[in-house]
Amino acid sequence: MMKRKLHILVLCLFGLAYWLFLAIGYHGHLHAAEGDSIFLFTPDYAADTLLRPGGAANYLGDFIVQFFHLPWIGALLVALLLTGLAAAVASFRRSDALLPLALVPSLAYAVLLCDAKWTIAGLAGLTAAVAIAAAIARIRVPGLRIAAALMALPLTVWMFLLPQFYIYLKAPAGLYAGLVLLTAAICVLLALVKAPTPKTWISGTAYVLLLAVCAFGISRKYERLDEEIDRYVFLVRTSDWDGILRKAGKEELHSPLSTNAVNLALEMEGRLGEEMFRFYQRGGRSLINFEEKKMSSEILFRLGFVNEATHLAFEDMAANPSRKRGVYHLTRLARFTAVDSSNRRLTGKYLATLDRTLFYRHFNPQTGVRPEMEPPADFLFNYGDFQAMLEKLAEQRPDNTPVRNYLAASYLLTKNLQPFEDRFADEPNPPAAHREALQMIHTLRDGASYPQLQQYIDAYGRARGKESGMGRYANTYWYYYNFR
Amino acid sequence: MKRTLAYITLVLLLAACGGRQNCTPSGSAAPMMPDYTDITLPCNIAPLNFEVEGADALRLEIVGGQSYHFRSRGPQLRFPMKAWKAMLQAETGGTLRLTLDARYGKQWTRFAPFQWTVSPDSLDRYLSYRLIEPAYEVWNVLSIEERDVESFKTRLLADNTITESTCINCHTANRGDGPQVSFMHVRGKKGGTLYQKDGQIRKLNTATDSTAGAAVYGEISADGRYGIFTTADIRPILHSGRFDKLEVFDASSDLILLDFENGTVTDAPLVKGADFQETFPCWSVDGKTIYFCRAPALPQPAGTYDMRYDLYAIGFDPRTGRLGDTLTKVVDAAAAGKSVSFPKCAPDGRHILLSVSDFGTFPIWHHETDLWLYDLQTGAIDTLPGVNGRYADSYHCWSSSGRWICWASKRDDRLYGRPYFAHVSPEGEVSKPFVLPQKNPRTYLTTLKSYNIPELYRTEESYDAAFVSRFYSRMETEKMHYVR
Repeated sequence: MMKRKLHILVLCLFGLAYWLFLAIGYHGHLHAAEGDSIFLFTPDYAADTLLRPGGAANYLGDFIVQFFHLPWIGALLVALLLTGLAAAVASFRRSDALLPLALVPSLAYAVLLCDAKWTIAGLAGLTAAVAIAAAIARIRVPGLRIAAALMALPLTVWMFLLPQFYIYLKAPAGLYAGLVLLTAAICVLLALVKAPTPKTWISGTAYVLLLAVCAFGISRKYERLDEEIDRYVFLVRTSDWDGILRKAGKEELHSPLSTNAVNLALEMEGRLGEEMFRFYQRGGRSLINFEEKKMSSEILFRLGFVNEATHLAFEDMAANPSRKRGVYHLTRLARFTAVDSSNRRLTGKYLATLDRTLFYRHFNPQTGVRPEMEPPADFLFNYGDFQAMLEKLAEQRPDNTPVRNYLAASYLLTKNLQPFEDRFADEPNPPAAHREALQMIHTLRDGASYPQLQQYIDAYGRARGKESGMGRYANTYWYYYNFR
Repeated sequence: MKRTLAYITLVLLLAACGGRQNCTPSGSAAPMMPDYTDITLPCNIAPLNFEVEGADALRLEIVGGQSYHFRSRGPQLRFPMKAWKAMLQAETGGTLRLTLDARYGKQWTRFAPFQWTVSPDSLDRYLSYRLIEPAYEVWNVLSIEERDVESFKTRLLADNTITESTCINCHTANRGDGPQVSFMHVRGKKGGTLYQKDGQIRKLNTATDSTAGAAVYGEISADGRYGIFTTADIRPILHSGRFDKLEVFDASSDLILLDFENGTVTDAPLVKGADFQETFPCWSVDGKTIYFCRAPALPQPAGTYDMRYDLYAIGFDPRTGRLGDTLTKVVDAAAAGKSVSFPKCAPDGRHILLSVSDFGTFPIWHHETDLWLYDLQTGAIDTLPGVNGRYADSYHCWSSSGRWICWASKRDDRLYGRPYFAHVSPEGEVSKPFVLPQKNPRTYLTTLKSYNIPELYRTEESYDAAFVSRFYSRMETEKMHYVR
């Protein structure tokens, strides 16, 4: 009895810890998973999903993933699934001797879930399959039990255990099959072995060891950089500019994509030219990276490159490895296409699908982008020369402030100062970065003198061109020009 | 006078309500989705199910030789298959008058009556189309589906999820009275052109060292022996404007002639070379002329906006398999500032149906693309104003009788193609188009797939997607050889 209480306590502690880990430490990942997924409350969707191999697992998985919209709820459901799996495995035990083993599949899946390739559908399918097996094992009449098992086995495999093989061929199907077999082996072992109950300290040590291995696995699998990017993507997609700047103010930026988000947030807050060099910048990639389509599509959209943004949004949706057309993809397309008020039908198409979801049924595609920001005259877009594309749009739309500011930032980041001066020398109230760049141009070319710049030059001379010792100028364009 | 007319109209509308209680005549056209008002329909088409958005109930009275009454609870009216077929059979050749009432809450509304003309010209029973997301360049799921137009049955002819995500395209049938022949290109490392003649399937490698590449767009001669194709270096580039999303241009293109009997590829000086680009060939009905599109070659992509293709003809001798040595300009589209694509000869030999854009060679991405009907006897061009929609109409084909045309139209939302049909009278008059009916009339509203390259044919295709998977992975490839 003591062992059972200990087991329940460990299970509860594990569930609680994993819930907190997901909700606090991995909510960017949860938002990304939710954005790539969709669950529709329609009979057609149910039929289409359930009739496929592994469809029931996918249906359950998508149902749970939609709650990642509210990370605390979504994380709780995942923690409950993991503890449910452990409880279902434990129900096979003949004695409490090997009870800690019942935790193994849950702990293993908890580690694997840190890898985006591992889905909630797989966990839901495994949990459902073990629960069905446990229910059949409780049938007392042997003949009936065998008959039920024979009937349930193919059906359970078809409904709950095939998704990893069928839907996600690129996911580690062999490893998933191994995990399913391991779970089955543990269930069989628990059902067969009737050994004397070990002392509490032995069981306790076993639990501690298992939990330690799990924690170690999670620490190894945890994708810190991906999580940072996922969080910034989420903040961009929800237009939480203040949230981005608060986050960037607290922690270092580890990825150019994070810098992309920060620069966009600065622009949306009207502070790009004033504050961009407060944050780590490095070359033109600090503004946009076309290899990552979520962030770059959002940036292009807010600059007025609506067709290019829609292009990347489509490519991103088509490249979704789960092959689903997730809620983020649809809301993004709804927002992007809504700029063209003459074609409401296209936006309506995406809204018609979103209308059948739980959290996006009243989605309002606020764009924040005016049609007057778009290029009035068509030109062919070259992803290889973003600066030239900014120049073209800035020429066509002189009132497009974001494009004008991004063009200035692009010149500064690529140290392309002549065209910067040509275009921005006559700004009435230049922001700090522009002012510093212009002062530098005037000093270098004409020998003009500016007190602050002169102080910087003196300090630079004292430091003999080395970065150390120049920290107090780290927020200036001069520093960027010399050291990045 | 106006007041009297209004009074008479009101009285007539009230009388038309036929004594039904609470029926308010609206006088406006029935807001049915899809729009099936005032159309000519083939006598063998599947039920034209429709929806009236927001309606709580519908009732439809159809009056022809007999009267037919259909009712539904809810906004959709789905005709029972048996009753529908019986009705069409009884009314073939006649005109039906339809009166639609919709109930909103407790109030019935009567819409303006409309007509259906049931043509005795039946449609070819099978329609293939490619289902692909209009994702500009990237895709990860595409399939070719075969639809029985007399019912809602569909069947997969190809599915790239089981052919290593490779591109599959251009399922095209011959339109001869003799053998049933079709081809389809399956790209990828293990792919080839699938050539099917009376159920016998071959896998062909149409690329040779002496030609620019594999066969792309083209047609098979009526007897199935020859194929005339484009071979091209096709490249995509993105527009910035709102209307045209993507430009697809040919860096180079020539025509090649395939002899399936001898396994050879040939060409002719007049249809190859760097000075002109030649593409979209098709056979005349007698098989002695090949029509194709031709434009002076310009540097790409800079010259894309100036590429305008005219319609040309070149002779062909089926006995020797040789192309002629003179070219004839049939339609001087460039002179009108237009560019023609996809010529398709009507089975009656009198007309050619063309896609016409402002420039370039990929009409489906040009919003302005229209269908034009060229009369080979008189040289007259019908720009089909009653047929063309707001946005791209392209990828057309003829039924084997020549009395129906089918094409992919983006008229509804500018992005997603849908298969539309229209009746063509012997005099070349084309009726109002209607979209391929679906069991669930909301299908087009919610699907994220575009229906591309619709192709009509009389007999069910002899293979399915499972076969194409084996074709891709296991079947031996026949290498075709170049001959002068």
